Amino acid sequence: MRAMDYHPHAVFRLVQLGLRKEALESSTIWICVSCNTCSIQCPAAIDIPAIMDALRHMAVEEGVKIAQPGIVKFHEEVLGSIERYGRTHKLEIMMRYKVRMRQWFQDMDLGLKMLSRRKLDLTPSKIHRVEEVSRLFAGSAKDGKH
Amino acid sequence: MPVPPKMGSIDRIDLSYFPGCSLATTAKESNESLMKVCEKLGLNLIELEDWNCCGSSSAHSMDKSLALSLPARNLSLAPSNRPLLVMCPSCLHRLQLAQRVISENPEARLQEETRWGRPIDPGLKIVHFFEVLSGIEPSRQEAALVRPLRGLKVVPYYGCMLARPPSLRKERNYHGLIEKILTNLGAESLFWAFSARCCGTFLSAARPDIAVPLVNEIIGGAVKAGAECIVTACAMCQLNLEIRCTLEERIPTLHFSEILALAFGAKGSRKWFKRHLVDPVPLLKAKKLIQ
Repeated sequence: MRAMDYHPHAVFRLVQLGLRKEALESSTIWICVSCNTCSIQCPAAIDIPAIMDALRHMAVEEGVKIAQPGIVKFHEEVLGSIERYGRTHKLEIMMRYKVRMRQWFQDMDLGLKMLSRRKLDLTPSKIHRVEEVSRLFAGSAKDGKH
Repeated sequence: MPVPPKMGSIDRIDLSYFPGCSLATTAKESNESLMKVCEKLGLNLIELEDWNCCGSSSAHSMDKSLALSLPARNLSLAPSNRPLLVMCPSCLHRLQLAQRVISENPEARLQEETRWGRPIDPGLKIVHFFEVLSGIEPSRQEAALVRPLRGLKVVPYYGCMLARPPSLRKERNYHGLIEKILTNLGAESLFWAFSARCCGTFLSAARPDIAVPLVNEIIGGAVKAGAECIVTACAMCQLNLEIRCTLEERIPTLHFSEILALAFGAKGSRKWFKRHLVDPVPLLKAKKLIQ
């Protein structure tokens, strides 16, 4: 299983060579979860996840073809949850995400199992002054363009 | 070391506490067991009033200003006279990174202080539970030990917790802490290859097809090393290891706070274990750690 189309160092090479489209349309920038495993090994102390963040932002802003639209949808659902509740409501994020992906039945048995073990809450954990947080989202990159 | 608990001299140490979304919801068992452990060790956790999500992986992936403002609101809520304790390794990084921006960039600080209408102390100590734990003398841990973990074979799993971005390179590192403490409490800690392998984080939700082989490799490695259970520092790692393993032979994953609470004789552990998707009860019964 190879989920990244370029290894992280190859994405950096694309950037150095000015191959903008290839870098911004790569799958790697979305598959990277910023675990920092690469940055602690980098002898030049390059903050690799921070550059991946910048490439992700550029890809969204420039409207290039997103290699992993599903992952963008997932991030949008997480941010939507924070906008509504100030915190993440996992059950709702997953249900909305699966609907948007048209994966109606994927993980349904897992979801039921988690509910039966009380691993998922039916109602969100919501902050009191949610409007303070919601305000941040006016005009943010979250509102589903993809 | 911001929190120097000394036996006999100070009875209780006050800490602000940021649970984060996982511990507040899907991982209540980690939260409850952490409370028990802190009680036994004389730490008084005061939950940060009206805390919000740190932004998780999604804010920094999608929007730079959200990645600063979401954690900054939490920083503005924290009283500066006591350290802020964070249990989730990922929330810890988000809060520390926001604090770094605020302390190095006066404009960003002014912007966030104006936005939240509260001062933000750039010198606020933000500590992971491990940092507090590593400052507690072994004698205090041993004094709290009620149920030695005798014979329990564990592998420590740090996931990405030990890897930090270059700007946080000088923050404290906790390599070896799980092994050290669990060995001290009677368990047998085994060497294995996957203690710092990423669990896949949100890909477990967004792309299970990518997370499954990662998780299988980790669990398979633990089984091969002869472990009876995996002890993890992160509630999300714990969840991912439990839900994305498709191997026939799987072993339970316990949050570090659960196993500490067990060793310290905390009540209510059966309630936590019921919430696991890989049941740890048969193992713990066989080891005579629960009845």
